[in-house]
Amino acid sequence: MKSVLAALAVILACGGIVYGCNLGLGPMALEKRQEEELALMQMLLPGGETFAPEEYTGEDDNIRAVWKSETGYLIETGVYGYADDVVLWVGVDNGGQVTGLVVRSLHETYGLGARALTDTDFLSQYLGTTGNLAVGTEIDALTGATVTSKAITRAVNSACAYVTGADVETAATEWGV
Amino acid sequence: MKKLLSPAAGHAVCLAVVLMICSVALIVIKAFLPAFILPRITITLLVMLSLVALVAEHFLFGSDGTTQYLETGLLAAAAFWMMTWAVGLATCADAGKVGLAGGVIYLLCLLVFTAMRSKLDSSPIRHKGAALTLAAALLLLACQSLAGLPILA
Repeated sequence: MKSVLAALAVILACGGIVYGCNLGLGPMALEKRQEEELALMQMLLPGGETFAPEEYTGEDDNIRAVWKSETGYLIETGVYGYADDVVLWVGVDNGGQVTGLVVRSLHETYGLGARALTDTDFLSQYLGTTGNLAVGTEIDALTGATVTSKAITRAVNSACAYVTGADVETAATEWGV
Repeated sequence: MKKLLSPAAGHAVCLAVVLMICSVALIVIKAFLPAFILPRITITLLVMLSLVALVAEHFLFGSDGTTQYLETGLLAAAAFWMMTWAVGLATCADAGKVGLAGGVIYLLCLLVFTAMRSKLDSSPIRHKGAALTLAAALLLLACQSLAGLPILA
């Protein structure tokens, strides 16, 4: 019994240390995150200074959040890839052209779909496009990661469709294209 | 530590310290590298943490032949619950799910690890520690198939 109590005391002490660290570094983490997000948004949407959140009332499940800026929109999309949701930030100018995109969260297979995080050759294909893209036509998929590539393509199509007002139920946004 | 604590308590203490180190590392990463994509809490992650704790315990305190599995499982569950809640990854209730899953996973890892260790102890292999670490790494690789199963939505 004494051993169990001693172990519980150690667990509580360790938890206390972690909680204290979280309490101490939490505000700094939040501040740094906000700074990083603003810098990223300004990079994805050149010319944009302020980004105001805009409520999304549409029916496209791929769109999670929208920020409106002077030169366009920054759209957060989440599309299920091979193993998990792939979360992207896509900058689309007022003309409906993609000005930048970055993968914010990805948990795909290491060495295959996970390459979408850093493969600039793959991601740069989307720059300057206006949606209605299809893997195999306008977009060359990552080798061995077709599912992830299609998920990212659907995400970009949804983001462009939000700005241009195109019908998101086009074939380009359906699974398998 | 073997004389001060029961085997179950010893396992829990090692696990708690490993989880604490990983949790503090997570908090520091969140503070200084906000763009870093953190791993989700999946079965594979819990297996990895459990195996790291078991291997560390083996190298630091040696092997222990007896163990109280129910006590070990409950203490492991408490450790996982405590750290998940303290690091801010989940609410108290959701951290309970992680604790429950963690306790079961730790117990399973302990059973397999103990079996591997007893086989290696009776073998003529010279570098038993390295062999045990390699075996634990292969066990983790085997659990990669569960990578798509999250504990928390």
